[in-house]
Amino acid sequence: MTDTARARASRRNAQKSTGPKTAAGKAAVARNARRHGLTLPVRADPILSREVETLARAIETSATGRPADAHGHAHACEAAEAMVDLRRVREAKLPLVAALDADPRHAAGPLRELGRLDRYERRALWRRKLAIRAFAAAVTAPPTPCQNLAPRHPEKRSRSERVSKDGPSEQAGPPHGSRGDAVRRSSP
Amino acid sequence: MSGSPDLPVPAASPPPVDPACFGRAPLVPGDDRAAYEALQAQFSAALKPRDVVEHGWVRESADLFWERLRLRRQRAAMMTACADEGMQRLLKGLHVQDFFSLSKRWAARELAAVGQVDALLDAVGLGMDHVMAQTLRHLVGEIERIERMIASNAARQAAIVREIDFYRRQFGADVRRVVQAAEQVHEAEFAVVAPPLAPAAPQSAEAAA
Repeated sequence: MTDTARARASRRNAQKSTGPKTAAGKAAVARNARRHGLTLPVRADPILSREVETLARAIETSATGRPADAHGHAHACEAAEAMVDLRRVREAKLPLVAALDADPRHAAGPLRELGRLDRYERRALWRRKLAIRAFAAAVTAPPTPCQNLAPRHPEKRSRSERVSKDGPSEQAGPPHGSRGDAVRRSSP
Repeated sequence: MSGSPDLPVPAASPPPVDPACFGRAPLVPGDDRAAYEALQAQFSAALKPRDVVEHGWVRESADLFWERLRLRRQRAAMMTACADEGMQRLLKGLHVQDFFSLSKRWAARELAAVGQVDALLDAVGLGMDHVMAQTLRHLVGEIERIERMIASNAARQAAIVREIDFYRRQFGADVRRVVQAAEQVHEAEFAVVAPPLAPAAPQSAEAAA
């Protein structure tokens, strides 16, 4: 068959089938490239998002006896997110482990897949470790007088305040600086 | 008087933790659920988790331990299941004519084949160790992968122990410091202020009386 005839035949065949027509078929092919869905963040799934919120609240109340402030809650949410991620990875690993258990003669495929999933688990473990440490630090650190006095957003200070503290300034725009600068400036 | 609202106070009796929030048990068909639950209970009794975070670690510790046992079992199962491959290689090296069918029949434990193979191996001074060595040679990639998984599993368990220790030290020390600070504030609030002493009577008046 010449290239032209082949191309014509291909075009004819393509006219016959251009993919699924029904909604169910379209939904099925939309998942063709999906392997395990672990690259999707937990927050992208509304059900998992609710679970994260519940788990975060449970972490806070069980650790301190009451809900944490916004800062502590953010870290609790990060920890809960990592915990839910970890759970997802481990659940994705279970069928592979079962396959390995059922047929030890053909272990190469499941073992390779388990190795791939291990990367996600490692990342989730790392995130959980950092988030739990940050949460513990956030809920146990008492507010220091320096932190209380320091303005949260130095650029939002009123002009009169700026003039009284720093002296008259010709700077028109907001001062550039991090929160650390603000703390240093306000502390004696 | 209640504690200062800014200071976290650990829960006196932590609320019960829902095990469902840590996912389902990592059991596959053939696993002994009772043994897994006994292991969980053992870990829980030893580590005495106090909050959700610690419950998560305890659960994970037991899961990792369980997985490690299973990986070791799977490694042994792979070696046993593929022993015929090792036998095949060994018989091929000995220039046995029907090495393929003989190794298959040996793996199926046919008495005649087992006797024949034993005689062949005895004649050249080989045994089951050599068969397993050939099997390992055949499976070295898979076995290495499992070994790595076992090592990584053990490292994760050690990391969890370190994290529990760090969390308890950090949390314990900080909560202790915060509670002490709160107590000092309370003591200062309730400090007994002694009344000012009355001025002493002049000595000269007493002497005059």
